[in-house]
Amino acid sequence: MWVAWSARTAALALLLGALHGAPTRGQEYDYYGWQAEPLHGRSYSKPPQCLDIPADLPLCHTVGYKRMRLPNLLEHESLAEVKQQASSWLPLLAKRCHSDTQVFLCSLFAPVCLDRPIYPCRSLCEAARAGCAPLMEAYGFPWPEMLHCHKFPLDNDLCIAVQFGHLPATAPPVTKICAQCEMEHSADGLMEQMCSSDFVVKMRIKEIKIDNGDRKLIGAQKKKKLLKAGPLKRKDTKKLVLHMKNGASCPCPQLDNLTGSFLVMGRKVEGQLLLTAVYRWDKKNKEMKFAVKFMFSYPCSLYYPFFYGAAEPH
Amino acid sequence: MFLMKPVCVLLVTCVLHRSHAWSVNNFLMTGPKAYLVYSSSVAAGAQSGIEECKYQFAWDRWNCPERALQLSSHGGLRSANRETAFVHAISSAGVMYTLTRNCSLGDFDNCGCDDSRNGQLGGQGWLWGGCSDNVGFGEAISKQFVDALETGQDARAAMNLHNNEAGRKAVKGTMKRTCKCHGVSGSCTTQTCWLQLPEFREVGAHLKEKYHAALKVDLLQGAGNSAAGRGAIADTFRSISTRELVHLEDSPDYCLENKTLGLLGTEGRECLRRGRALGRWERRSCRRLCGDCGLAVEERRAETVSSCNCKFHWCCAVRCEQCRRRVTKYFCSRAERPPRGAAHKPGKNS
Repeated sequence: MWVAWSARTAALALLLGALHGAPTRGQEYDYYGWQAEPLHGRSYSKPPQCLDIPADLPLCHTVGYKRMRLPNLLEHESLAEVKQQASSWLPLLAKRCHSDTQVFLCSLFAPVCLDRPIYPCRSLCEAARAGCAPLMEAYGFPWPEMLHCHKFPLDNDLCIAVQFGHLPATAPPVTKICAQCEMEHSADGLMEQMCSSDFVVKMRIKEIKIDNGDRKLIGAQKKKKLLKAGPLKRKDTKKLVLHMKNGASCPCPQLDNLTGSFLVMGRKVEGQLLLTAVYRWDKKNKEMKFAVKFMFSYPCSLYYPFFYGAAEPH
Repeated sequence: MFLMKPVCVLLVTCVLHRSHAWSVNNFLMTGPKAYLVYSSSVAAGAQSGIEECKYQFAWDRWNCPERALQLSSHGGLRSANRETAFVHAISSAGVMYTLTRNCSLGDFDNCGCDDSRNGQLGGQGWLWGGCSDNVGFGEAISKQFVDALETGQDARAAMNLHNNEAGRKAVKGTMKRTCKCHGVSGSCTTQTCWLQLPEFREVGAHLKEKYHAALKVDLLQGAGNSAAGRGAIADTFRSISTRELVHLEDSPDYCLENKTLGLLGTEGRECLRRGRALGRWERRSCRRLCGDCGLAVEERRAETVSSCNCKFHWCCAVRCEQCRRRVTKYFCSRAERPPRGAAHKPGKNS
């Protein structure tokens, strides 16, 4: 799965890199029709189609226009392919890390249907990346190569610029809670989080250390229960150190007091354990007990992991 | 429907392994259903050849006029000169290219990717894989349709068959290898490669070069009608590579109007003089079309209206202004008549 992803990413990188020169010529208002572009490597292809954005493409159904071009600007050739790839990005959209995340992603996944392709401007890409890359990194995912901003045209009249990012804030800014500390309250929500995590453990926390921009949760030796082992070996659980990426300066109410037990979820990335969610353990919480008890009965395959290429469904 | 697929499959097999079975397959291949499956692609392919010819010769004295392009079913073009050679080659190439492309696009039930090499090591660090364009298929069907137009046994027919084959070789010779990277995090430690068609323009440009280097074949006068003469023709053509274009006659003077040959001459033709993007051949078109033909160059002012200052507006439209622009165009005119240079060679410089 990962190898296929890498191959596709590399192919997209090569293709988009090759296309990079074309949008720049837009500044001279050269007309370049769809047929003139070497879409998906071949010099010929079926002509691009205009389609209604379907209701079951939730990433882009509410983007602000109704018709999309296929093949899209990410080399996806069928609606099924677009839907499958776009679904990985829904959780990021839900995080609201930037007000133009949807505009940016949909300019590539479901590009507007006009007589010429319209690319996102580089500034739109950079704004979305500035807002969302730290969040993705917190979960252990780099900003993907297919969205590297140098692939997109410097701002000109024929690319999609930042749309909503300029709007003034209607409320005074509040320090945002750590991503890993946002809480699901329903059993379903908890089980969904468990699906997208490699491991789930009930544990006590001995202390918390600050390490550059991260917090490190040092697990106590006693009272540890591995609820979902995933890639963890027994030796891994002897001394648990969980990294809360980009978590040094944001509030996390659950960790204000370290007494008692915690329900912790995480991923193992390049030998490091990354925290993805933390809850104070509450034996009276029926939703939590239900989720822990029926975690392995939950149909994980019906839901996509947080990002494509994350934990394999069990 | 049941009968058609085995016939088509058999045909492809015969092409690859047993050419002596052509006579049987000629009959089967001209069955009505098989003919209809391919005939629209053949027609579209021939048309793309014509359009490419017009592009390649836009700034030549001979500019691929309409009359020259009528391939008859009675032995092809009447003339047998260098231009005839190009027309046959580019038409044959267009048919083959279009059939191959339509095969890859999934238009035909009985053909698909050429995966004969898939899995084999192609070179250091790369394997054959993916979907190679099935150029063998396009070649076989193209040959079936295009060569069938040559029913004669004379030198003219041999020339046309030779040039048809040169067109097909031009398509194969311009194919290119394309690769995709695999490996951890997008590195290029391993690649999968496949063969694919180039832009058809590359085929046209390739054949234009062959046109300039075309070989004239001299045959003894009157040798064409006897059995021994046909043997001599076959021997002569066999000794010439089918990558080269061949012709039997010199070209007429394309400067002049010639109603008998359907030539309009260069008087009234547009030519190019200035422009940043012009190539060398275009920049010299006024001299070639006008000066060397004893005509003057006339300037005409014109005004064009085109879209400009286009802007994308959210959401979602591209809106443009309409800008007027003065342009100068150049035409060959009889207004003055400077004497023509003695170095003029009509056949070589059309």
